[in-house]
Amino acid sequence: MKDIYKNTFNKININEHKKNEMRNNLKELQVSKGKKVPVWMKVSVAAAMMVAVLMCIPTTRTIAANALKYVTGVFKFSDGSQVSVVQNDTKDEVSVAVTMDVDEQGYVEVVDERIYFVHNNSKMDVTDFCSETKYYQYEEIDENGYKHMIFVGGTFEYAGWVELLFDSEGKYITNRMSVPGDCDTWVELAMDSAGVPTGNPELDKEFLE
Amino acid sequence: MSNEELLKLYDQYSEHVFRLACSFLGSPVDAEDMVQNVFLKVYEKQCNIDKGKEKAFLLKVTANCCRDYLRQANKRRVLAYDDVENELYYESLSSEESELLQAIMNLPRKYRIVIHLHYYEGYTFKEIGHILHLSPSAVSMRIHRGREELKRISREV
Repeated sequence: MKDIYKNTFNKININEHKKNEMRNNLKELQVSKGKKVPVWMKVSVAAAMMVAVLMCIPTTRTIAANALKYVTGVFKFSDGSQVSVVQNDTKDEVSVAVTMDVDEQGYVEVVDERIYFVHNNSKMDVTDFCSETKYYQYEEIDENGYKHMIFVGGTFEYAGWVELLFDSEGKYITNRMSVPGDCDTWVELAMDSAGVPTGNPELDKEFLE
Repeated sequence: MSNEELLKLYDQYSEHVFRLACSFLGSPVDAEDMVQNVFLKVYEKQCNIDKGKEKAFLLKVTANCCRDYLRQANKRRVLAYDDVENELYYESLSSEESELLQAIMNLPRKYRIVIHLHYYEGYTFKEIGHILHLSPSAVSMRIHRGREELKRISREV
């Protein structure tokens, strides 16, 4: 088993062109502490692929459709990070630029087995709100009228956070998160409570209909 | 960490990161993007990596990045085996290897990952537990169940 497994996976390699491209990107990196760094990520290589995704995967249909309505725009998260979505001229490629602080640690800090929600230069002990199935919830509206829902949950060993972004009409735009470990029940419960798809088919029945 | 150090890590371990990401995500295209994300993260965070533990460290970062990626529901892609096969950039596989790959890709993700780390990377249950934040007994159980499931799938394929 071991030999055939190794032989099989040894034949699975990164596309040579892509590998060189990524190497060149890394070569050009220059980071100075505290500066904003734009990170470019490809989210979809081609419209055809997006269509294929839409047609093949019922679980993502609603979300992908939402995303398509927002193919151009800049979305700011509560900690100053932002996502810029750009569509190319031929409209067959969508790129996303994420700008974040190099020192950005997210919204969670763990000190002496206590979980702290850190935001806007304040720090609040939310340990008692958090467990594998429980979370602390915070909401704010930014200057553009966008609502940010931030959840902090998990145990002190695997504390994490989730941020959901809604437009001024309450339409769900996107999310980002940092959740270590495998205990993510609280993530699904938090997202479900906010009325957004969680990726768990049991909780997402209304989105799959 | 300097660019030179980062590139050295990239040259040495990017394929390992890619293969683990493939196991996690089931999509080579997504896995390629993940490779870049992992090395960017290591550079941005200016991680201090213990000498001799570079690969384990990078695979741990890969596992965390893949989990974050999968949890973001709008990025989830569930591909049928045929889609995975079409996306792969591998050398031609023998029929036996192709069958194995098909069976592996049909395994539930939680079994697929531990089997990859054990059979491909050669890590012990304890080391896998460290990478995936699991207890060694949980790793052992997943490998055992994964093997059983693999046998069952192989019979059906």
